Amino acid sequence: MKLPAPRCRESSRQGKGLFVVVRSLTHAASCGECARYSCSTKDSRLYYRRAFSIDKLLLFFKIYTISKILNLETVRKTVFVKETPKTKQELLLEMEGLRKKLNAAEHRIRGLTNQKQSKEALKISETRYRRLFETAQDGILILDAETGQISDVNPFLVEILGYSYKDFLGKKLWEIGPFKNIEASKTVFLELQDKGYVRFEDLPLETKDGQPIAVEFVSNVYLVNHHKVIQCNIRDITERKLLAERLQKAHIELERRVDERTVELRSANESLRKALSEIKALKDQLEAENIYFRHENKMRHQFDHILGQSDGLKYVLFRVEQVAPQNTTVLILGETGTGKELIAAAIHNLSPRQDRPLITVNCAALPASLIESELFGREKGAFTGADTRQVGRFEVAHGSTLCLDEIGELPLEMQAKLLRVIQYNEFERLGSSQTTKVDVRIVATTNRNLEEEVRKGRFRQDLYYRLNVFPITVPPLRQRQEDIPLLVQAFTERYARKLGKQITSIQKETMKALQDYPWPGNIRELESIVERAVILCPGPVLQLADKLETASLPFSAGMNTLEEVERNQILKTLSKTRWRIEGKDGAAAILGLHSSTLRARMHKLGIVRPETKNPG
Amino acid sequence: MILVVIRMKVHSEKRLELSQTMALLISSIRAEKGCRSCDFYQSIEDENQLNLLEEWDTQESFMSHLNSERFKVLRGAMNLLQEPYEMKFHTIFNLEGLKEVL
Repeated sequence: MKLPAPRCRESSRQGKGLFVVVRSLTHAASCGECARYSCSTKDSRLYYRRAFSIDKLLLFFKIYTISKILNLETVRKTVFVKETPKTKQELLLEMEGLRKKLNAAEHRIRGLTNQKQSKEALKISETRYRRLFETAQDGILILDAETGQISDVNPFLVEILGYSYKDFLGKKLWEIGPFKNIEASKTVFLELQDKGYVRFEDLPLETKDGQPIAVEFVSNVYLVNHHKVIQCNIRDITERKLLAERLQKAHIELERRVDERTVELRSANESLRKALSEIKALKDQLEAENIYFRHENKMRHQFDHILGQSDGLKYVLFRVEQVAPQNTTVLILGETGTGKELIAAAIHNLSPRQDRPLITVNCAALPASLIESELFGREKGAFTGADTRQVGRFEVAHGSTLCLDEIGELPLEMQAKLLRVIQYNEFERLGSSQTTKVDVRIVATTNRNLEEEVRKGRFRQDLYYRLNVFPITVPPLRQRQEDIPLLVQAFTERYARKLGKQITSIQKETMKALQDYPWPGNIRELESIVERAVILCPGPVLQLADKLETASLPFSAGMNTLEEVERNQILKTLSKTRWRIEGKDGAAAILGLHSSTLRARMHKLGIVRPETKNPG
Repeated sequence: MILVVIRMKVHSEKRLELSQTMALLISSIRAEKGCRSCDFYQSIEDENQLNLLEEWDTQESFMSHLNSERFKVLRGAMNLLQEPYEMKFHTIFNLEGLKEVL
């Protein structure tokens, strides 16, 4: 079919969508033959649509473009310069042929491009790896795996070994100084060949100038173009080794110090443990030795001021309870300092007379001349100096209790008068003839054995019988040993509070000494000893300030004969003068005797200087 | 039954005091549970020699007496003695036999 050739301008007026393509084609082919026959019919629009799908037009465009790039005039001519119009079949065949040619050309072009690119990449890679090889901080040695000939060496290795390139290149591994141990090098080489890999963590080498260096040697075999090549990486580890050695040394030194310190610590620990156990032992001992003052109320009873738990005290309090509610005269007996006046007060306080005050007269404290007016009162002018009327204690104690303290000291003539009051409840004031009647309960106290006093004629028997209606014997402190801790605590607390001190305990031994002491002065003595101890006590543990001497202390007052007192005094003085009798400081002078008199007394009393004492 | 004998040698001047105390104590001891009898005696040979005789039903009742406040008072009264008191316990276990003899 013949295709008429329409003008481009006309066809360009056809459908808008194809206009660009046509134009392009036209333009691309520089208004060549292709355009001419593709748009040459009147119904060019339809025809051209059938004949040239967009794909085909694009193909043309592509061919044109490629031919332009490659400057392939022939192709262009083949494609575009067509002298005679062809059938569609012919055209399609021709196009198929063209396509094949085009593909081949394209393939060729691609191959050429790839080759060029490969060459460039190879060049880049070569540069890169060469640079790496040359700047590596490890020595690298490349050798032929078959012959052992060195083919390359990097500058770092050259530098660390101190050889030149020439020394390396073309030579075999074992021909070079550093690897001069030929046998070993060969063995290594053989091993390498065999295993393909060798590694030495610490290989000793020598530089050209004989300096020993340590290297880490890693080498392996690889293939280059079917040819085995060995690459040896040699790392200088001299410094690292030195460091490691130094580290090792430091480590050993540290270990040594640690060991030393451990030994020291162990011994310190041991001594600490010892000290601790000692402390514990001491603490236990202290706890065992010390009796801590504890606040316990179980010791308390209805008698506020009377402390104790002993059977002896219970007995006394039983007696008190029995007699107190009655009007009976009570005689309280007991050694000095046993607290008789407290018992008297307890009786009064438990009696129906408790609302009135207890009146106490100390018969020992008043001279005989005054005691009468003290007890019975006096009228004005009763005797010289009696310029006022005085009410006696009996009158004051009317309706209450009169405590006659130390009744044993009352003069005999007063005893008769007292007997009358006790018997008849009446008396006359001194200087008055008027009889005064009183209601007084008598509680008398004494530290004397009144029966003995009666026998000796120093105390009226009838008065004794009148007084001894209900006797209460207060036991001495030595018979109340179990009460001593309680009393010590009470007195300690009392005086510590007074002095603002903090005393919390007492040594067991001290307490034992206190309990063993016979206490001739009884509770009064204990109180004063505790008071002194508290005053002089420096810490929280009560320490005695006085020495409790049991030997020379009499068990009770008035029990010693004159002879005993004399012997004791002479012995005491002699021990002070170290048995020197004569002289200014001698015992005789001190005792106010002539030395011969003292000797005679000593002979009489059987005082002999002990042989064991220092003679002379 | 338990028979208890307490022998006391008192100071002559304390005899009155001890006797008073004993007189007061024995009446209350008699009232204690398990007490069959409680009596206080004076020796006709030695007026200062005094004895306390107690009879108790069982050991338990006697033990409870020993732990009582009264017994503590009694022991406290022993301070009045010339010498330490002597206390004896006798356990009588066959009264039936004794009855036959008597």
